Amino acid sequence: MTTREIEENPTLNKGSLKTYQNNWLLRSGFNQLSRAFNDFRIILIEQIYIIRRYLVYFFFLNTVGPFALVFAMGHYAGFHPDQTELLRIISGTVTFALVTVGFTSVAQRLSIMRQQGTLLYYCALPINKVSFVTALLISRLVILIPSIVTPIVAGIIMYNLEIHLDLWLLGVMILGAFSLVALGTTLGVLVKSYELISLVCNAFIVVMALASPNFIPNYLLPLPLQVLGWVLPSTYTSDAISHCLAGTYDRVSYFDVLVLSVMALVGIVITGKFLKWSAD
Amino acid sequence: MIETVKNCIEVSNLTKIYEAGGRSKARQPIVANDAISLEINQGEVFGLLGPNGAGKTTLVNQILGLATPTEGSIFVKGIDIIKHPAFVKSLASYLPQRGIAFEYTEVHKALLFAGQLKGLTKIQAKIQSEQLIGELDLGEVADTFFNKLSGGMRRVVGLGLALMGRPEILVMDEPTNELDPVRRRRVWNIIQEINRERGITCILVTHNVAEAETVLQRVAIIDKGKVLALGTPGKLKQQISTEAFLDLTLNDMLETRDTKTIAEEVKFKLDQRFHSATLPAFRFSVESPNNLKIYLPFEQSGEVINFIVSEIGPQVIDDFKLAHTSLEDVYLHHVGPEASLNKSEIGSRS
Repeated sequence: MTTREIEENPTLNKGSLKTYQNNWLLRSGFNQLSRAFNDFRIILIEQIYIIRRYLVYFFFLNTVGPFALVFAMGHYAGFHPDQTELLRIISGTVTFALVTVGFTSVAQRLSIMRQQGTLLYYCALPINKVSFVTALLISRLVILIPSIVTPIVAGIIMYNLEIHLDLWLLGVMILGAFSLVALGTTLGVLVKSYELISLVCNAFIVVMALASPNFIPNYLLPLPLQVLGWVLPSTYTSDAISHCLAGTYDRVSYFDVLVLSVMALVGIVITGKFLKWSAD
Repeated sequence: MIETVKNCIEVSNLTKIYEAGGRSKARQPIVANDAISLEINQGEVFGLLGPNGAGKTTLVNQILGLATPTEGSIFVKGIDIIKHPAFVKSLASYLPQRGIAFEYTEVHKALLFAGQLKGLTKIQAKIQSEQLIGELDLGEVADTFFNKLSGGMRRVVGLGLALMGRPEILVMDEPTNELDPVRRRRVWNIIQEINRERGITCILVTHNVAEAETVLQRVAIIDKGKVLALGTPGKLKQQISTEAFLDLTLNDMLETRDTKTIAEEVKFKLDQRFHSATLPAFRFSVESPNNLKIYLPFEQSGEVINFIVSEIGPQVIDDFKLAHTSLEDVYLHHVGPEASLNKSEIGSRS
C-alpha cells in the first residue's frame, strides 16, 4: 500500500494512518537496508551461538568427508585423472558442500525451527525474510568452510595441482549457495514433515552427485540427465568453480556466473516477496 | 493513563478451515474458527478462554498475520492485516507457549537481541533490557543461558522478550504456565501495570480462568471455533447467576447443634425476614460437618451476613468468605465440564 492509497482509504483513522506512515517512512530506503542488515547480524549471531556447541565435531567431519572424496575419486579403479578431471573432482566436491548448505541445511534447519515453534516466533517479528534466510545460510556456510577448503588443499598436496585462488572463487561459491537457497527455503517452509524433507534432500544430493554434470562430464551423461543438468544450479556452480580454480575466465565461465546470479536473484525475490511464511 | 480508543482490533465473520489432509491430517475439513466476530478495544486486557482445540490459537495466529483466514476480515487500527500482515508485526509482540528463539543465548543478550530485532538501536535495547531485568526480577539469571532456565523462568524471560520494543499490542499464550505462585502473581501484576501505565492492548489466551479473572477486562469464551460468550467478566457472571455465596467454616463449639440443624434454623429465619416475591429463596448447602454454604442475592449480602452472624453467633464461626459467581463458573457453564478433558487445565481457584 502506498502512502497515497493510505490517505485515500476512508476506513483508516488518523492515529493509525500516522503510525503507519511513520512506520512506512522509517522503513524506506537506507533505513530499510540498515534494518535488514541489523536483522541479518542478530540472527547470524544467534545461529552461530546454536552451532558453536558442536563446532569442533562439524569441523572434523567436514574435513574428513571431502578429503576422503577427493582421495577416493582421484584413485578410483586405477583411474589416473589429468588436471582437468582433477579440477572437476575438486569443484564437484566443493559444489557438493554448497548444495548441502544452500539446500539441505536451510531446508532442514527451517523444518527443525518449525517443529520447535521458533519459526512462528520469527514470523511474528518485523524482520526481513531475506536477512533471516541469509543468516541461516551464512551460519551454515561457516561450519562448511572445511568442506570447501579441504578439497582445494588436498588437490594441491596430493596431486600437485596448480590452483588459481582469487576473490572470484569466493563470489562464485556464495552465488552457488544462494542459487539453491530459494529451493531449500521453499521446501523448509512449505513441507511440514521433517522426514519428507530429509528424503527430498537425500534424493537431491544423489541426483546432484551422480546424475548431473558435477563429477561426470556432461557429454558422458544420457540426454535426459544432460537436460536435467541444464536446469540445476549445481551444474553452473561446479563449472564456474572449475574455471576459477584453473584461472580460465572465458565466455563459458561468465555465462555460468550470469546464470547463477539470475538464479540467486530469483531465489531472493521468491524468498522475500512470494514465499508466504505462516502458521497455516 | 493513556486514553482508551475504541476498536484496536476488529474481527468480522472470521472463518478458518483446514482442508482435509493438510495440517489436520483429517479426512474431513476442520473448521477451526467459525464466523467469529469480535472487537478488542485499545488499551484493554482481553481474554480468549476455551478448552484445547477450541480455535483460540488459530484466531490469535490470524490476528498476528501468521495465518490467512478462509473468510472474513481483520482490521488492526483500521488497517486490513490480511492484505498488510507486516503492519501488525510492527505493532504487536507475541509470547508463544513454546518455541522462543535465543535458546543458546544469555538472558541479557536475548533481551538485547529481541529489542534490536524489533527496531531498537543497541543503546535503546540495552536501556530497555536493563529496565525489564529489574521489573521482572531477572537479575539473578541475567547471565544464565536461556536453555538452562527452569520452565517457569523461561516464561518470565519470554514475557520480557515480548515486552522489548514496547509493543502496542501484546499477545500472550498461557503466560503463567509452569510458574510458581509467587511468579504467577508477579506476572499478572506486571500485565496489569503495563496495561495501566503504557496502555498496551493485551490479548491473553489462557486456560487458567480463575487467575486470569483478576486482570481481564473483557472475555470471549470460545469452543469448537465459535464465540459462545463475549463481554466483561461481571456481565458474563450476571448472565448465568445474580447470586453470591457465603462460605462459612464453623468451629468445634458446635458440639450441641449440628450444621444441618443450624442451616435449617437460619434458613427459616432468613426466609421470614428477607424473602420476597422479587427475590429468590435462600439456598443452603452443607458441604461438610463444619462447612456451610449459603447462596444469597448479591445486593443484600451485607445485611444478610450481619443477620446470619448474629443468628449463628460469631463465637461459632471460624472463618467466612463471600464470593460471587466466578469466571470459571461462567466458563464451565458455557463450555461444560466434559469439554475440558482435564479440569486441572482450567486451573484451581486460589
